[in-house]
Amino acid sequence: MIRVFYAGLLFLLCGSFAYANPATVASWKKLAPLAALQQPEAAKVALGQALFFDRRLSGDGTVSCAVCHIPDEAFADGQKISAAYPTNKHWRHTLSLLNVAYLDIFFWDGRSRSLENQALGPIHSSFEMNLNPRFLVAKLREIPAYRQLFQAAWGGEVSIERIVAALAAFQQTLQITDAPFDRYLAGDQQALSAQAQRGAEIFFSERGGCSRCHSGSLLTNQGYYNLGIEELPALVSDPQHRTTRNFFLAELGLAEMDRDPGYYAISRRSKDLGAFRTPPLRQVEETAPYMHNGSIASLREVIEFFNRGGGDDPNKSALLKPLNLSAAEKQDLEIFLRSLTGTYQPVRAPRPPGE
Amino acid sequence: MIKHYPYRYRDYSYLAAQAAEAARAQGKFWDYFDLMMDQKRLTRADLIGYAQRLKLDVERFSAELDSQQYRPRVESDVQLARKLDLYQTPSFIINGRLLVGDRPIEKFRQLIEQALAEQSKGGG
Repeated sequence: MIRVFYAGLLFLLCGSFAYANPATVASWKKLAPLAALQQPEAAKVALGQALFFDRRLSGDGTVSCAVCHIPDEAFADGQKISAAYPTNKHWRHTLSLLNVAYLDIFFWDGRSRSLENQALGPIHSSFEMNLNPRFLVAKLREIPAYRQLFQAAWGGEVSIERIVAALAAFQQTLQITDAPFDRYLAGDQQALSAQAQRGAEIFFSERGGCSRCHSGSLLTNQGYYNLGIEELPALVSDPQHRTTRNFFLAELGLAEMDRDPGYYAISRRSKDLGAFRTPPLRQVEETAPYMHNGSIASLREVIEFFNRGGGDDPNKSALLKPLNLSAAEKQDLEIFLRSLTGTYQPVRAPRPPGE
Repeated sequence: MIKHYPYRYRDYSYLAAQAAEAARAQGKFWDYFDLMMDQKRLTRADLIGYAQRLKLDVERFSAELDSQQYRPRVESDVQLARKLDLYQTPSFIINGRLLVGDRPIEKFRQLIEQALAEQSKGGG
């Protein structure tokens, strides 16, 4: 197939109560601001950053972590469906890495419970980076500059455990704690406009219901909900997308199916079919399109989706009901969501060690 | 401006890129490109078949394809891509801003409008 270059995540606004009780109108202003977490050691971060941008972490030397988690795109990739290993197609939307340091559960289906494990998954995934981790260790051991970086970070040799720990260390630095919403919670009364505050009141109200799932100052309870998101036609009809889904299912011992099973693939409980983890919402305006398959293009459309009571699925969460928000209320809600955008240190690709 | 980036592990990708250039020489680059993307089969016989369908001068087209006349141009595009650290397709560069992958048309409009606004602000 000819390949050409031309010169020239939300997400779910609504779900369970596993981690934080939903704030109410009366209480959201009392949420504790998201506290900055301690930064990992600089040498581990530097090694992790080098690895994050290094295409040699893939089988054919063309795919790095940064291919799907693009620094200039809020560490997401702006596409409906993630990029894939060359000649393959992915089946899910890329999640942003911003604020992953605060999470306990990773990926749309929650199949990983540590940042280190999360970092390992794509390296050996056949449709992502497609490299045997043991082969990666052998490769890096032959690069003196990498051996030095591992010595500096760990005082020891290259190992897969240290590779993923360094990747995790780098990702822990990607924290957003200065969005207008954060500054407001920290006491800056001017940080949120009146319209954003009205939007927050809807967001945290029983009526809006968003904070049932997007709860606490992180704005997620890390629970799983079926919102009735329609499958993209291409994911059902395209043989390459189907191949990826069926391979993923087979690896987990599941039979082929024409839909994304979501958390069911992990829990094996039928109530979790089509349920996906609630993502945090910092920088949400920069991470369109939204949902696990990128099927909703804009924040406005996400709000319309929830205002309708979500999509149509027999397994849809009972929490989703039509909201009957007015045009002005929907606008307020959107302005609030746009107040979740903070800043983070610009990150650039370092020169690949040894090149 | 379009540049080629044939994937090195595909049997026919370099040939297809050269075929597109042979079609360009006869003024039918985009028609030919779209046909390849639509049909997806890219053996030599397929590529010549597309030239026939577009009523190109097939004798000239085949001769240029077989002599690899446009291989240096394709190689030059590949070298440029590597220099720019581009490995994914499609990749788009709009006034220095890189966009990778399948993006909605609105994103392109936004970036083009931004670039035009910056240009007019700069008096260019």
